[in-house]
Amino acid sequence: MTLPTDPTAADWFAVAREHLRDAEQLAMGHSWRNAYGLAGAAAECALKGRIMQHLGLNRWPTRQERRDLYSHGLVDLAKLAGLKPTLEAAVLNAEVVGLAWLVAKDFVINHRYPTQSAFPIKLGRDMVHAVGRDGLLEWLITGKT
Amino acid sequence: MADNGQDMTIDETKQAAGQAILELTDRFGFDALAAGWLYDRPTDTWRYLLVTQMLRSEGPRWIYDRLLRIFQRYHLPDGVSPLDIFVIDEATEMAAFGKPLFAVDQDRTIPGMRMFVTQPITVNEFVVTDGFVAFLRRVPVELRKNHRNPARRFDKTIQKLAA
Repeated sequence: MTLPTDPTAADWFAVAREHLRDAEQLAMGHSWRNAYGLAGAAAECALKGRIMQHLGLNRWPTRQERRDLYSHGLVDLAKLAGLKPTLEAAVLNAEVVGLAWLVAKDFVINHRYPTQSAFPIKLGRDMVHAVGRDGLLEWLITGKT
Repeated sequence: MADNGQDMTIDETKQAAGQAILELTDRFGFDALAAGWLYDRPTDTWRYLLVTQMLRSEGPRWIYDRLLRIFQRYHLPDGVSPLDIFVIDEATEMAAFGKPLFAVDQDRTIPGMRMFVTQPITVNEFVVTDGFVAFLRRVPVELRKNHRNPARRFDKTIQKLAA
């Protein structure tokens, strides 16, 4: 699935779920760098859908209109989606989704590019688990785990 | 402090908070290779970065699970949330701290933080942010091979905390 030119929140969520499915497939094949990148992208897409809902947007703004929305930074996107206080509470209450967010928030999109050093397996594994098994993606989309 | 016309300041509260976090993590054997506040100018946000070889050996979930247990027992300084703390790998360190990383002498970072501007450039595959970093510690790269991975000791002290 590709994202339409004028994506709705539902479109972002659909792409997010697809990215997670692909990330989990890649993780099963131990392709950790790519699994990490897609799991992070899944969280990013979910947050962009939540931003649309939070701000009551019926179309995704252009880069000229809202430069701040064109970010891969999950922390910045969570703030724009109005989720920071809830996430903070989940972390302080040591909820599974809170711990998952601590792991996911460090997502660096540029990790997807090959480097001289091997990609840290546990970084990839933890990212995929945080977004998938630990329920972060569903929490970001639905507010429930 | 100013650099290239850009304001580069960190108030005493934030300095003290950074130092307190470092001391707290040291007390539990985290033994960060580098630590400091990173200011991101475009978003006007501060991040507290801890550099450790444990990210590679144990993974972020293992680390955050233990850090969270510390922060639940011993509260973080006022104004600092666990969400402000970022654990990074040595391989990512240069991306976060930028080029000045190589010029920093650990002994001169405390007291009185050493501050360096970071510029929006790409180093290897990473984008370095526009802002600055205020170091609390940075073990020079050439001395790191003498540093044992602290994972076992860190884990042991956390287990004692739970007991």
